[in-house]
Amino acid sequence: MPDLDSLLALRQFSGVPREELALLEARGAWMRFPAHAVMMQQGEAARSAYLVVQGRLGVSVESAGGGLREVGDVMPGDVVGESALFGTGGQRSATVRTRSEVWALELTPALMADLRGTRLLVAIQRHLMEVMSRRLRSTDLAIRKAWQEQRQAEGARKTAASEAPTRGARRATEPEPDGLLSRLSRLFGGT
Amino acid sequence: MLEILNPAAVSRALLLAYDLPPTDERDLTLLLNRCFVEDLADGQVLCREGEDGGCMWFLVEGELRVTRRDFVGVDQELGTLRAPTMVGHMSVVDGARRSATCTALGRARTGALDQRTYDAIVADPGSTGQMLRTLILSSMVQQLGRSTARVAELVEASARARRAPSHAELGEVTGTLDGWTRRR
Repeated sequence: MPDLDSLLALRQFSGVPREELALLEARGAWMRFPAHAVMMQQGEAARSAYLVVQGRLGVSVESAGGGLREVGDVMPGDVVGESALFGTGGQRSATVRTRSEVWALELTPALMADLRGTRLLVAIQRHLMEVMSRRLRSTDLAIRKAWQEQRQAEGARKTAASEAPTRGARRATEPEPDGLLSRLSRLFGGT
Repeated sequence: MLEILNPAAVSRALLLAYDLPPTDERDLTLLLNRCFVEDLADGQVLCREGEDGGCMWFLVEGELRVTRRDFVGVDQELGTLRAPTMVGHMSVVDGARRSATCTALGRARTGALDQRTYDAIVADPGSTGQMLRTLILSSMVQQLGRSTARVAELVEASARARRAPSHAELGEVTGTLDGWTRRR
């Protein structure tokens, strides 16, 4: 089982006083997950987050067709299930599975309230801000690229339709060429 | 100090917008008082796409028109930001350049936090720092949730219609990532 030194070794907590990490260790619930186990299931209610201290996990999203698609990895020092710490929590947006034995500290809204005023809470929140900022930026980039591609494609179709009406314009209900829709589906776990 | 009509009402409305408890009103008012005022005239640009960040704002009165340039250099209108709301906070978090141009629609009042002030407050374990971090995190959770839900709807609708999402539909989704909505 990890101990206080394991927490001190995490990059996200550099500069956090030892006594504050000791408080987290004392108040947080240590959770052990065996290898190849489900830590959280897509669709279930989000009640707590987890600070991963040891082990590795994979994040996947279930598509409407029932298939699972890998979308990311979780390493020591990362927080997963963070939506449980804000607002009403909602439902898990992805499934998180262990790839090895994992030790994590459970973070609840009540525990976060207990940590108010500590540099530890600042460190946790700033780590979350960095992670979510990266997610937002990469999602934005993917959508903007799709947006631009679609504008080009629509422009090309209009040109083709106006230049050769007797040959028949592209029908609006033709299947989308493999590309845009597939990429968006992969990004957001659709079919 | 940010002088606004009825700061308590602005704080309450901001907390509601970001799904935060009304008990935080005093802390938010203290945070707003750390901002310096930037008033905008109709048509004045608050920030331009591609510029360095280095500042975030609380839009406390008025509206901002949001535009982005497409691949041929034409400005496309994506929507509107209405008070009260945060603007430009992503760039102070990650240092990235501005992702859109925001222009005042009518007169607008903002409270600005420059990078130095932001860095000091965000690292503060006290209640003002807690308020700022909580606001930004709540905003990010909302933005991600909205955009994910909207793209999932779009993908499903497009798959049913056997066509790719249109340029207009995708343009609307880019708006959800930054928190603005279509003007009605």
